[in-house]
Formats: sequence, C-alpha cells, structure tokens
Amino acid sequence: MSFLEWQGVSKSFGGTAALDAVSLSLREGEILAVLGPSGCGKTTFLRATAGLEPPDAGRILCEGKDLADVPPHRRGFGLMFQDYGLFPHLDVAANVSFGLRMKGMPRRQRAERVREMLGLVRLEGLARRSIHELSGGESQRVALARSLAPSPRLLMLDEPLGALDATLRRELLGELSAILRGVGVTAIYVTHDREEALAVADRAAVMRAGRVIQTGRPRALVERPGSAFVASFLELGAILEAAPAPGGGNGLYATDLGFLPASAVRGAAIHGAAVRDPAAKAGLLLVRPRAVSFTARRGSTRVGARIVSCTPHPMGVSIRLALLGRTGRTHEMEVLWRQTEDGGEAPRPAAHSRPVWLDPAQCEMLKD
Amino acid sequence: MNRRILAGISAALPILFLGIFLLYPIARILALGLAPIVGRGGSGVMGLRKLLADTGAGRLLLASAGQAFLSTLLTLAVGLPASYVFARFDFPAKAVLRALLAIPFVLPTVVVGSAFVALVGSGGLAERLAGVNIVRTLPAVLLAHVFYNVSIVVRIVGGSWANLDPRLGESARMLGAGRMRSFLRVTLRLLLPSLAASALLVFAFCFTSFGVILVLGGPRIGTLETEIYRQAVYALNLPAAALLSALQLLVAGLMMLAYSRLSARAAVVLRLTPGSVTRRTPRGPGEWALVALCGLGPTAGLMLPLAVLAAGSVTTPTGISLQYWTSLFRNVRNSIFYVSPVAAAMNSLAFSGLAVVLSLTLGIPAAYLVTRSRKGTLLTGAAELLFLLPLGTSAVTLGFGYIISLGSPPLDLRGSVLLIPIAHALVALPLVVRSLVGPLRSIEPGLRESAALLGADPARVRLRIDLPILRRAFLAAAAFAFTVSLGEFAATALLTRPELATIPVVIYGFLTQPGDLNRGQAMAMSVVLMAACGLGVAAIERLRPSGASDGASEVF
Repeated sequence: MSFLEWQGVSKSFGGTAALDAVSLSLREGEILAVLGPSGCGKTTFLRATAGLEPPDAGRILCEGKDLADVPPHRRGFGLMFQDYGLFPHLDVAANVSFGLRMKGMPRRQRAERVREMLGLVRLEGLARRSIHELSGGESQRVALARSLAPSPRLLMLDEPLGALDATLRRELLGELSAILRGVGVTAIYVTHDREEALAVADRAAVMRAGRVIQTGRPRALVERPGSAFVASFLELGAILEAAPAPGGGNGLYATDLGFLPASAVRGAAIHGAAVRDPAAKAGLLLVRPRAVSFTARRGSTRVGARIVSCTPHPMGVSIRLALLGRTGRTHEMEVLWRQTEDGGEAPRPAAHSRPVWLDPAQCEMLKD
Repeated sequence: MNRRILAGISAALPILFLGIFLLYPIARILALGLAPIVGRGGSGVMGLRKLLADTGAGRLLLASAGQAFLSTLLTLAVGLPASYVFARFDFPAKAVLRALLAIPFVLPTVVVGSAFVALVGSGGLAERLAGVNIVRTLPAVLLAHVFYNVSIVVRIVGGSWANLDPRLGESARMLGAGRMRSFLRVTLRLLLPSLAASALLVFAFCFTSFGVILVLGGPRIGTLETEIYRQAVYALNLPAAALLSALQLLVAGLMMLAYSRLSARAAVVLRLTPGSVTRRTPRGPGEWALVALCGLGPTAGLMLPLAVLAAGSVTTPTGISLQYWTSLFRNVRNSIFYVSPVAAAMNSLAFSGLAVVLSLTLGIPAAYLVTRSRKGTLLTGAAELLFLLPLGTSAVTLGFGYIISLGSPPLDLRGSVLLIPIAHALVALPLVVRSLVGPLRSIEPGLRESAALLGADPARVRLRIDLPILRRAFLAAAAFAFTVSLGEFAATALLTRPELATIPVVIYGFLTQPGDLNRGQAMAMSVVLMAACGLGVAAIERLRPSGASDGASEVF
C-alpha cells in the first residue's frame, strides 16, 4: 500500500485552478520530485499536503486514513520553505530544537538530537550562532536540520536550493541528496529545475497548470517524454512539426529540416499504423542533441546549420547550434562536441552555414 | 559665504531654537520646582517629601499612570485584532478604512471631548436611548483614549505584522506547534518589540493627556497634567506647579528614552517581507466575519462619536435646526469678554500659518542634521533624542514653562503674540522632523553621487535631486504641522489671552458653560475644526511619498 495517496485533489484561488484533480501516490521511503514551471501549482500541492491550504475537493490519504481533519501540526510532516522560515529570534540550536520542544522531548535528549542533526549537516560549530550571521548555504543546512530533527514521516522541500547561487546549488545538491538517502526519509521535492529533480528523485511528476501530466522515473521521463510540453520543459532538444510527406510517398516525414524515414523515427506508429495513410495527422517531432553529428553517417539526413557560440566544457566543447529550416526558421539546441567521438578539429562559431547530420533513430514523434 | 559655515548655521538653528524654547523653560521649571529643596537654605530630602505630600504628587502620579495603564490595555485589545486584519488581508475599501482610522489621531482633544459629550454626555445619544451618561467618570476618559490611540497600534504593530513572513508561523506549525503555540512563540514573540513600542507610546500619550481629561474627566479625575494647569492658572501656586512639572518631565523623559530604544530594536530584528507577499483576500465566511468585526468594527466605532457630534450640532431641543450654527456669528451674550468664533478662527489660521513656517524652517535643517551625520554615532543619537523630546514633553508643561521663563528678562515675550505659534511649532517639530527623516534616508547616496559626477554642485544636487523627490514629503510635513497647530489646546490654554483665543479655546469655553446653546455651539465649532483637520489628514495621505508604505509609521 502506498504511504500517501492524493485522490482528485483540487484547489482554486479566485477562479483559477492551482490544483486540478491531482491524483498521485507515494511509497514509503520514496523521494518524489514535483517539477514544473512557476505558477503550475507545485507549491499549492505542498501546502495542501501539509494541511496549510485545505483542498476544495478530493482527498489526501496517509496510510489509508483521510487527512482532512488532521491539522498541520498533528500530521507529523516536515516542510522546508524556499527561504527557510528560520526563526530570527532564536539561535541555530534553538531553531533546530524547536520541533523537539513541541514534541515535549526532555532537555537532555533534545541537546543530543540537536548535536546529531548539526553533525549531519556539518554545522557542528555553529550551534550558538545567530540566524542573521549565517550565509545562504548555512541557512539552508540549518533549515534542513530543523526539518529533519523531529523525524517527520514525510519531508517536503519547496525549492530548497532556489535561493542559492548556481555554484553553491550544484555543490549542495549532491550533499542534500546524500542526506535524504542516508536518513531514508520519505520526501517530496518541489522544484522548477529539471537537473535538481532528475538528480534527487526516485520518481518525478511533471505539473502544468494545476495538473500532473506525467509521472515516472527520471530516466523514463527523459527517454519517453509523453508530450511536447515535457520535452521542452526538460530541454530535451528541438521540437518541430512533422507531417507525412505529400502524396504519401515512400514512408517519409516531411519536416522543416527535410525528409526523415518514418520507419526509423521512434514513436511514429502512434500517428497511424501507416504513415502512407494520407489521413495520418501531422505531429511534433523531437530532435535530440545526440541525433546530431558533425561528420557524415550512413542513414543520416544532411542538414544546414550555423554555430552560434562555443563554450569550453570539461568534456569537450558545448556548442549552441542553429539548425536552418527550409522555411527560413531556425531551431536552436545545445550539443556537446567530444574529441573522442566526433574527431577532427573542434567547430568554431561562423557566420556561414555548415552541414551536420541527423540520425532519425534519435528523433521521436511526441503525442502532442 | 563659505558653504561649511552656512551649513553649520542651518544646523545650529533648530538646536538653538530648541535650546531657548524647550530646554531653557524646562531648566527654569526645574530650578523653580527644586529651589525650595536643594537651594541655599533648602529643606533637603525631608522638604522634598513634605512638598510631594502637600501637592499630592504621589496620588496624582498614581492616577495618571493608572488611567494610562488601563487606556493602554483597552487600546491594545481593540488595536491588535485590527492590526492583524489590516496587515494580513486585502478587502474592499481597505484604503478608505485605514485613512478613517488615522483621523482621530490628529483630531484636537476638544473636538474629541465634544464628540464624546454628544455621545455619552448629558443630553447625549446614549442618555436619550438608554439613560447612560458617563461623562465625568473614568470610563468616558478611557473610551476617548482608546478612540485616540487605536490608530497608533494599528500603524505600528500592523506595520511590522504586514512585513512579517507568514511562513515563520507556518514553519512552527509544521514543526508541531498548534495554532496558539505557533502564535505565541513565533508571531507574537517577533511582534513584541513593535508591540512594546506602541504600548509605550500609547501609555505616554495617555499619561500626558490633558484636554480629554479636562473635558471628560471632570474635577474628580485629577492627573499630573490637570493639576499643573490648576495650580498654575487658578491657584497661582507656581512652585507646586513647577514641582509637578519636574515630576512629569522625569517620567516622560524615561518613557521617551525607552521608546527610542525599543523602536530601534523593532527595526533591526526582522527581515522584511514585502506586504504584497503576506497579504491576501479573506477566504470563507469565517475570515470575512473576522475582517468585518476587527477591521470594519473599530473604524465604525471611531466614526460613531464624530457622526453623533455632527448630528448633535444641528439637533436642538425643539428639533433639527441650524440655530447653533447661526448663533456662532452673533454675540448672543453681549459680553465684553466674548470672543467671536469668527475672530477665533482668524487667530487659529494665523497661528497655524506661523507655526507651519516656523516648524518647517527648523524641521528641514533638523532632518538633514539627523540623516547626514553617520547613524549610530553619539551626535546623531543625541540629535534624534533632542528632536523627539518635545513629543514627550507635555504641552501643559511647555506652556507653563513659557509662563515662568519667557515672561521676565532676559527674554520677555509676555506681550508677544508669537508665544503661541512658537509653542505650536515646537509641538509639531518632532512630527515634522520624523516625517522628513524617512524620505530623506530613502534617497540613495548613489543618486546624489551620480548627480555630482555629472557636474552638479552641492546646492544644485539639493535643488535638482532632493527637492523634486522630497517635495511631497515637505508638503505632507506642512499639512501635519498645520493640523497639529490648528487643534493644539493644552499649551494654548495656558498662554492664551482673551483676544488671542483660538478655536479649541473657544470650544472649551462653550463646553464648560451650562446650557443647550453652549453645548450646541461647542459642537458646531467642533464640526468646523474636525472638517479642517480631516482636510489636513486627507492632504497628508495624498502627499505621502509613494515609496513609503506607511506615512504615520515613518512619523513615530
């Protein structure tokens, strides 16, 4: 049985739906990432689960029991806000021990637990530090220690790294993920950052306009994006329109980048058994960066491209590439050029176009 | 002329003024009050004890503090829920309600006195409806004090509350604290400095309350203030008045010191969250009911006495008529001491105009002095405290100080008509300075530096950068000074001469004489004064610099 279950949970604010019939489940010990652009309802989802924002409709069950009448402080859930919500009138240790006090834990045990938690987040020396004297990263760790101290049944993190700069974020992401795994806590991790979500989660749910539109393991989301929205939100590649070639000829997709053999394109079947079928609908095609190569290959389609910019990358050169469409439109994507695989001279930015080759097997049709 | 010298003079001007018209009178009061005790041949500590006992100082102190304490408690009881509602919710007509809530604070004490006489006095609404007449009792005084000071609590506590991150309370709830515990341990704890600051300010205002107690308390409720007035004006026992004034100054000084400490702490502790994040529209009937009860309720409660006052001015024993109004223009009693209301209005306008000019001339350099010198230095601290001091000195003490210090050489201004506007300017000065300091501090140094790098000399920087930014703040400060001066009663009551009577003095005169006509005329004139002050408040609200979210909290 799942630990938590959301059944058709809806919530709207002044006519706009922040949550629209959300149904999900979460197993014990699992880390679920809720991913989506800002304003998609992620935070409302957390607040509804926490009990801070009662849903208009639907039920939230914890171990089979409806939570509707359980107030936030009796749910045994922890919530870490984006800007941490640390109490400015208390020092670090008092912040961490707040939840323990509320539980009525005796003083000595409390001190022990606080020490343990500060050790976990590697802030042993800062127990008596005032909240105002903490750096961004330190505040984040104190907030994590405070949330974990009362051993919540569920820990919810709302954009936990959102307030930090990029370098610090990368550094803390690994650490945070290791701590969550180490403690083995059931967690919901809300973020708009795909890298964070994919790195931390066992399972991710993508939200859009109050609805959960796809859930799955991170790898599955990347490999099988169900929709153009998920593909573009996860920045999986360029998305362009594709239609069966006119005259139903030769099983080809006509795209802005030229003809692609339908038999090689993944997911082609979903648009009708036969692409020859003149009634087959046009769809959206995802062109992944790994479909692009800078040298000619068998079965690949030659496409004109312009190199917009090149950035040195630890693994080669990160290239901003504009694929030149026949209609004059360009389709930009980020590709990685590697010495070992691509060989030859690293490409350089240039005003004129050069050829690249697309492997249709690395392209796929999207559902919408 | 050397620019530094000019700057020095402009900075010295307000300090000099405060020295002559505040510190010197205070010194004279202290000298007069303490002379029989510490001077040559003084009677020492034993004498002090006897004198304190003779003047009833202990009893008066207790009475002053007791009524102020009760008033503060009641004010907080009404003000805190209202603060919450105004800080946390957006609702229709909120801006209007807020503005209405601020009106009582600038209303003259005699207007409030008249309004409460009309509401709960003899022949008032409550008496006609339910036979209740509580004028000349403590409850009437307490009611009027709550009426006056609720807006202070709502502005100060509500201001902090609006910028308090609601997620702090929610964090506490997620950590296992129930609603009540989360409120007590986090929200209330974080509001404590501003709560204490507002309570202290309310206490200080009630402690030095004069007009309200004189009009509504009657002879049975004697406080330090009314006793100083009685001893100085009626008993002509100047040493006793001086001793009581010295006592009053001591207590007020301590309170102001504590207040400036507290408000500094209130400003430091919290990381501010923008109000737009913390506010929302109420949801569900429960929250709407709360908004109606705690937001609309107090506002309606504040408006009630004013409405009754307006109604009372046209309600004669024989029905609705403009009799009270028309009689304002006739010398009905044919008395030679009679001051026509029209003449009093002219006096009031003239004094207020002078007070505005004076308080701005002094207030602008003072505000620059406070903001220019580095924050936290001893000089800035001393300057801020000095400009705050008039706020803590009761106007009665001030008036009394003028009587004993400026009526004899080296400074004989007894015959001068300037004494009253000077007192008014002094009462308005702290408000003017404080309302300018906020906007002045908000001018980023980078702005002035950019102008300087673009080739503007310091004078041009002030003209081209400071002035356009501060123009509205200057006008608001002027409106503030005008309103304060128009309604000032306590100092005027001590300094006035029959031909110099102002509107509040005339209203008080009407109120103390028996009869429906006098009462009615007091109400009619109070309505005029109320309207004038209402216009002043409207001007202040309109002119408030758009950057500052809360004009009055800048002032306190």
